[in-house]
Amino acid sequence: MLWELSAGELARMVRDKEISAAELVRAHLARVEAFDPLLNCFTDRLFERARREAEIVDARVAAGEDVGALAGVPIAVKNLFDVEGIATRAGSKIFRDAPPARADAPVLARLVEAGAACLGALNMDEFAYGFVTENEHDGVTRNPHDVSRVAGGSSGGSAAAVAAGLVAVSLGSDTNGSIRLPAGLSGVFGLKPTYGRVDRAGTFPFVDSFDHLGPFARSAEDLRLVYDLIQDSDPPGEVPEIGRVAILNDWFEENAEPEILAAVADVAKGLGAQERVSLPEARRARAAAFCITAFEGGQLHKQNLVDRPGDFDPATRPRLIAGALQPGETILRAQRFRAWFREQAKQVFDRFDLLLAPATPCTAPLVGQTTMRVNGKDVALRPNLGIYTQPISFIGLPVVCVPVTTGVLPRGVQIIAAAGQERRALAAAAALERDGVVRAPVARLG
Amino acid sequence: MSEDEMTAYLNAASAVLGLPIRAEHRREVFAAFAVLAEQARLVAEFALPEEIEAAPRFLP
Repeated sequence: MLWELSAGELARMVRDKEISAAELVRAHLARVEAFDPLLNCFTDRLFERARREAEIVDARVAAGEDVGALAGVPIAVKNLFDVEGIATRAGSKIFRDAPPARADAPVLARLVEAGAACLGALNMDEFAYGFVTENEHDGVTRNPHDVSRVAGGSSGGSAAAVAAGLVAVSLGSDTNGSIRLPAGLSGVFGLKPTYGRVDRAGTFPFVDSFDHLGPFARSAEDLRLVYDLIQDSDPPGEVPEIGRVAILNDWFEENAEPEILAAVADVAKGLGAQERVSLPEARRARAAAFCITAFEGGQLHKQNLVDRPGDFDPATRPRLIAGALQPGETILRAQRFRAWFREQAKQVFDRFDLLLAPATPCTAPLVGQTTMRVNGKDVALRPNLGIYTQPISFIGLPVVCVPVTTGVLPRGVQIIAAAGQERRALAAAAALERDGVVRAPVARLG
Repeated sequence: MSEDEMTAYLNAASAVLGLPIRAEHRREVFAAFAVLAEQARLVAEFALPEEIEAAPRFLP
């Protein structure tokens, strides 16, 4: 079926006139109409826009023009990206009545320029502050592999829409794990590039110190294709060697369910990784990221927390208020710790080229679940889902999250590279996909 | 930090920073701050070398 094919393959078919962009978009719109009422990925459906963009592509194909790497490919973006004509809400009620964006965010504009058709905007945790996409205002986004479970967050709509074949590619953002975590729980590929690599203009921020943008896709090659379009500082070149790969131990193994560690072991075997290495004080790195996040997020929203606190999602509000009230000393120490921790990671990358870690400690939780079992104890679910992603985004390292989908539910594994080495992580993901270790099949629905 | 100390701190910080905590939100905000305080303690108890600076470095 069309909606099972990769973005690269769909674009090739359009360029080769095997199918029109209009047909491609029509097939995906039908799928959105059939399954989005169940999944709740979309907050804004822009079907007329998508049809119009498809018509433009078809006209250009007919005229013999080069229509780009994403010719006719259906895409959508998290609703914190500016999308011309609609309010950029970032999952909030507060910005529901904001003036419509006058133009697409530059990264979205680049994908459209490359021929993509934008079907709409996607659900998320309010202000990107969460890991579950159970949004008070827009509802929960359900996991396409088991609709009784969450898709993960905060880019839950972005991950689930790709996993369900509603779109071939989507964009999301990752501050503490918001690309890697839903990619892992929903069984798709996700890329969080190096901090600063992708222009964040035209997107609503959360924590300037840690915010990243990146793509979701159902193949490593599609991630690379989108990565090439959304940044300029890392031009395509020779595919790097995968190099020396190690498994992160200590913090990154503690508290994980056995099936999660089994997924890491599968990926390690696929990449020939035998050694284990520690990233020192990752627990404190996560703690520092936790404090800075609450502080910067709280400061960003301070005026609305004063003026209209009742309009925030109850899951978001207390953390933002408490975060904004933290002592300055905490935040300065956390930022100093960040500099120290970055140096520790650099030393690890003197010995290894790629590091492996789980994306989450468990598979997708049930909708409404508030606790999870860790070492025989119940702990709060929401703050602990991101324990393995937070230390990594804290120091801006690029990560490809790959899906191990051999079990009942998907499990994500982070392939972490040194700063600036996205292509090495992408090469590893592609090799694993070629060897059948990781794959992102469209979820069976209906 | 004892519960009394935390209450006193949050009341003072809320007043100084001009960010009121409404009565109906007090319990949830205090719970969130307790979680943050525990994370802050993990960072504070680690002895960082003196030369470590928070400032970003601008390399040529």
